[in-house]
Amino acid sequence: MNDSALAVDHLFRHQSGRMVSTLTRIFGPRRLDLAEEVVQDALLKALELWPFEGIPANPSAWLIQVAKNRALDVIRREASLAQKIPDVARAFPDHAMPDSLHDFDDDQLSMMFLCCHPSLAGELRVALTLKTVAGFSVREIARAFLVEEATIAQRLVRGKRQIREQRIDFEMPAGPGLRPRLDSVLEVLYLLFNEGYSAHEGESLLRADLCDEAIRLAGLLCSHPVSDLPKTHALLALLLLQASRLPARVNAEGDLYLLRDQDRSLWDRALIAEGLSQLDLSGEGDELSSYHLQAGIAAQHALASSYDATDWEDITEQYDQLYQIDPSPIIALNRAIALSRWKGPEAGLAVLSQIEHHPALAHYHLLPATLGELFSELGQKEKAAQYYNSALDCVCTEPERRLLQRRLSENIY
Amino acid sequence: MPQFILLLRDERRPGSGFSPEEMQKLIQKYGDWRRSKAIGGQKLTDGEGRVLRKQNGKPSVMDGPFAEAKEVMGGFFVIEAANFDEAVETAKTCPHMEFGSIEVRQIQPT
Repeated sequence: MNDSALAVDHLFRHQSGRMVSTLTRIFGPRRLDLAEEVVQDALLKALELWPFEGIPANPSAWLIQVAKNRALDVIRREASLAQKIPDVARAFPDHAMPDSLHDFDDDQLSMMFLCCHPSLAGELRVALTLKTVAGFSVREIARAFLVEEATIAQRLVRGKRQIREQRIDFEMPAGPGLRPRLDSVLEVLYLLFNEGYSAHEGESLLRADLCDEAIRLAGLLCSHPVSDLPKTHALLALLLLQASRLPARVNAEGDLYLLRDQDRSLWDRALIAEGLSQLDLSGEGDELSSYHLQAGIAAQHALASSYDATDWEDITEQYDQLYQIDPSPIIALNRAIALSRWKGPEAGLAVLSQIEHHPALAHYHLLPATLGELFSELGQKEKAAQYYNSALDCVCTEPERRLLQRRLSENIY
Repeated sequence: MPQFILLLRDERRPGSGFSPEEMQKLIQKYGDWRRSKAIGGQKLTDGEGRVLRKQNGKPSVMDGPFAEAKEVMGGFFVIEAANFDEAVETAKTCPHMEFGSIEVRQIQPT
């Protein structure tokens, strides 16, 4: 009996993702439901026994053994799966030491490639990845994304149906097929992370879990020869560097702190160091992805001793390059902010006047919020207040709303 | 110190609809409770129990749950407490209270 074994964070979640992946390989992607059912049964059995008997010395091995027995039961029940028995025996060795089971890692990666297949709609990819690879429940996904449980459940049903109908294989893509498949996986991880990072209120623990999962899965990609590409390291660097600022971003009351106002001593130095070393690894090869540039910008922030001492010139240049890759008005807005830190608020306003009426930014609160900041810096309080008011008219999260209201009240006299 | 047995009956199965994370947290909760409060415990097998009774001179065997129709005995814990009231207070803190009923019985000291 060794209850401390369960002190491993998210052991069930991660073990569930591993076992669902391996069973999906054995049963085939068409039987994803069955794989999930087997794993759920194994976890439930632990939930029934362990409260009374304590936790076994090796909880992962216990779960694997029970899932294996359950899988064999299922296979014996279904004639169509009869030839799979040796596969189960091979994949779930007796007395398994989970850390040595590299197959599980391979299977998890293949599972990610399956869930993030480019022929599936984006929202289906995210839901499938979270449910199967990351071991989230429908309710947890719904809470993290602030949508109805039924919506997530529908997405999962649709995703699984499309996997069946399109006969998507369980495989580790290779050769020329790899790039687009990998891009899709990276994009899903990027979305996962951003969802966790965004300033929604409530369920903050779950949102932090999203960030952790995105980082864990990106790390998994980096550690496998097939997906270990500079771009993968660039994404991981970006996620680590962004995550390093999380502790300083929101206080206990849920109030949001902008970069300028953050207590930099709260930044996670270990994550920064890891992020910078991943950024080094991303430097090989000649591809400069948007992840490289975003990570480069995040690194400049991480290295600066203060907001004012930040190398805004370099950041502006990286935004220029980013704009070449992705000419979106949001990037133009961020570039204008960096420029205004480098050359002053007037320079920022001059650029913003060119994109101010871009239709894509019509309801985007950060545009008027930025204009408000710049006018406030120039001492034009009335104009600043006007823009803060229009920002408040847009849809934004509660912590952002409170921040805007604080700014507004500072500019009313 | 007097010993008490806590009989745990499930009204609803914890688990269905739980995420892996929630299951792990629940097991941890039971584990923390058991380590600080109980001196023993055991899971009982799923399925119904039987009651034997002599009827017309012959033993008759009755299947089934006996208290509430839906309740199934999940397992038991043994705890030590100064008196019955204290045992009841301890039982109240058991995570199982979210999922069913607990019957407290004192074991006759030898």
